[in-house]
Amino acid sequence: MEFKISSRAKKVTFTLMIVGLLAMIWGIFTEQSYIHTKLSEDGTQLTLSYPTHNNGENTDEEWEQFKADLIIAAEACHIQIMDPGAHGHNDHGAGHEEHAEEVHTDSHADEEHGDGHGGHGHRAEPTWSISAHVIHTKEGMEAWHHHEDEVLPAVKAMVDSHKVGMPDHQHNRFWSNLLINGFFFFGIALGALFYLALHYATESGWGAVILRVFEAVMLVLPFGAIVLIVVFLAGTLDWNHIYMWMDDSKLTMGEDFDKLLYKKSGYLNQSFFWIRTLIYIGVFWIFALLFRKWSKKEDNEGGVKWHFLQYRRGALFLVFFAVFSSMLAWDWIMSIDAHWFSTLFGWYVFSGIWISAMVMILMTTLYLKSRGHLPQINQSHIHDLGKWIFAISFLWSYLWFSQFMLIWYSNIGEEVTYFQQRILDYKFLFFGTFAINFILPMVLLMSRDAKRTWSILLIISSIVFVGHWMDVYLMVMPGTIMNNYQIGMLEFGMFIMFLGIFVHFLLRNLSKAPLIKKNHPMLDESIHHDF
Amino acid sequence: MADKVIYAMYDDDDVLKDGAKMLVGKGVHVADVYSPFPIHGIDPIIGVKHTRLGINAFLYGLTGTTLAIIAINYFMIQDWPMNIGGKPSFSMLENLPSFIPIIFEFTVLCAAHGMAITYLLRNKTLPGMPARNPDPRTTDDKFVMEVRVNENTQFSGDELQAMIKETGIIEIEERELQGS
Repeated sequence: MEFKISSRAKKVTFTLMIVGLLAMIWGIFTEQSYIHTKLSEDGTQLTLSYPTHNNGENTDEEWEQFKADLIIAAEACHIQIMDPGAHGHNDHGAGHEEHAEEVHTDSHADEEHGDGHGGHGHRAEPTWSISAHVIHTKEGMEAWHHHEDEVLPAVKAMVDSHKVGMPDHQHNRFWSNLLINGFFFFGIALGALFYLALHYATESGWGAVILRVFEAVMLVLPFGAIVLIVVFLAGTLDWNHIYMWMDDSKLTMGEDFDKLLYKKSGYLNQSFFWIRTLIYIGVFWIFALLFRKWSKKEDNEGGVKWHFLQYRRGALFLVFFAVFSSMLAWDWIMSIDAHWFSTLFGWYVFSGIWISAMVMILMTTLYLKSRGHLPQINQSHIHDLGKWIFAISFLWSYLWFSQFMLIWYSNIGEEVTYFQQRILDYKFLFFGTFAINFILPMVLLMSRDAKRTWSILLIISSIVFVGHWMDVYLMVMPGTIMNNYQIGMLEFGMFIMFLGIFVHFLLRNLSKAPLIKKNHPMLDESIHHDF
Repeated sequence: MADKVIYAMYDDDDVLKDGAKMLVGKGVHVADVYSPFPIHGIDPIIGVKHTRLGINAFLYGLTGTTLAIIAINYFMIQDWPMNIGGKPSFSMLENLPSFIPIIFEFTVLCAAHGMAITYLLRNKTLPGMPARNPDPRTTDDKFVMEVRVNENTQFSGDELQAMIKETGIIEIEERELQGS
């Protein structure tokens, strides 16, 4: 039975791509670099600090523009900002003529402040900070008394929410997003490849009718792989600063020397990294192509020869996958926070990959079934896919929590940094993602009827899909742009665009081979799958 | 006539399945099937309702979670506050991660034991209880189908026997029904 992409499906995927692209471009142009705000405990001082590795690329005009914007935006608060370097304390009391009540910002140039990140990570670049504190004139005291606590928090909120900011010349947010989406969609294809191999290696019978869906998903592998290679290449060429260990100045004696990175450089160095990356992708792609080739040969020639070949090669692939899935998680994701390490990380990433792939397979199957293809698939197959999503949600939650609890419990400085960053800056997203990815499938997919109800399956899997994208987001973002995160047009657009491209290629792969294998030895068992 | 029950014995589960399908197709109500192992696909044929054991398991698990949380809160926070992993916050919420394993274990314990005991009680198969299967060979390699005459009043006992005999049985027996 042949499958042709309907013109409607084409339109939908192209619309996703175009809308995503436009939103992404809009996002890139409104990207802003982060200004870290810190309000003192008594609420009278606001420190704005700014990593100079960004500052070096922002011009003075942009800095002036930022200050002007801030004054305009904060008009109601009568804020005045002094030039930190040039004037310092000199302008005390300026502007009294205009406003009886005055909020003064008192600025310090703080260029030698070596550790100004306030615990936000590993980049030890000096920061440039302005301190501001509220001064009251005698008359102003009473008039502003009830506003006093609100002025600086309001200014802080404006800077935090990027209402006022400076353009980001390094496009850290763009590159991080590219890594997130590249990895997420690479992971989906890889998860399908893994599941196909598992299906063969365990000689499972039930899924023989949907193996072509697995194949179609796994053959989108090059898409994610190319995006990842682009991100790594950009890192090597110093276009982005996602991987700090790629920075040679950290490995040579000098100001930026980083002992930990130096000690790890036997493994974390660019040439070895590239060798590993290319090996992972190469091995995965070769296996994917071979599985597809043998599967087609089986269609044409029949017999069990090709089936048993896939059975043996499936087992072989699992051996490679067991090692590579952990290592690629260390190399591509964990090395963003290169000072940190967790032995469980590979498994945690792998479980996320697997469930995203399962959701994609379920969605594709439901789509094909709803279009009248795949009549052989019955409710029991759908139920089984639902069970997988239910089960892998537990696996993921188990690994997430195991990693979190052991590190939280032992509370060792070099281990907790990872979670400190996430809990301090991403608290809501971090725990929210866990809650949604764990509790939602657990409660709502527990009953038998729920796994046989399409609407419930569709809703839960869509939420879990976005939830696991969010999980990858939380693996990458805190390490690359610290607390400078936002979920805006850039994130939304790139995700939509990638989804459109992925689904488009997926449908094209589906149309390249009959939707049901012809000579799979367990086809009959699979068609009569029923429980 | 009433309170008679017919036991038909088969030596193959597929034959039994086909026989049950045929009988049900003629409007016979099959009361039960005794088998040494679960026969796939027999439930929908003879109209066995889905088990509610899963719902029970969920409720037992919920009970376990609640009990564990209450107990841990009393032991570790209220009665004898403990400094856990250098986090002497004495607050249930902030120390919760270290209690999750025990809460989880207790949930599983309650769910598993509750489920096992419910199963044994409901099937009246607690240790020491008399066996209820009509023939000891159903625990070995034979399969028995139970048809009750008073549940199939549209047929006479002889008609039922005649229909059942067509389904490839190896033995048939009619008994008085003794309780249920």
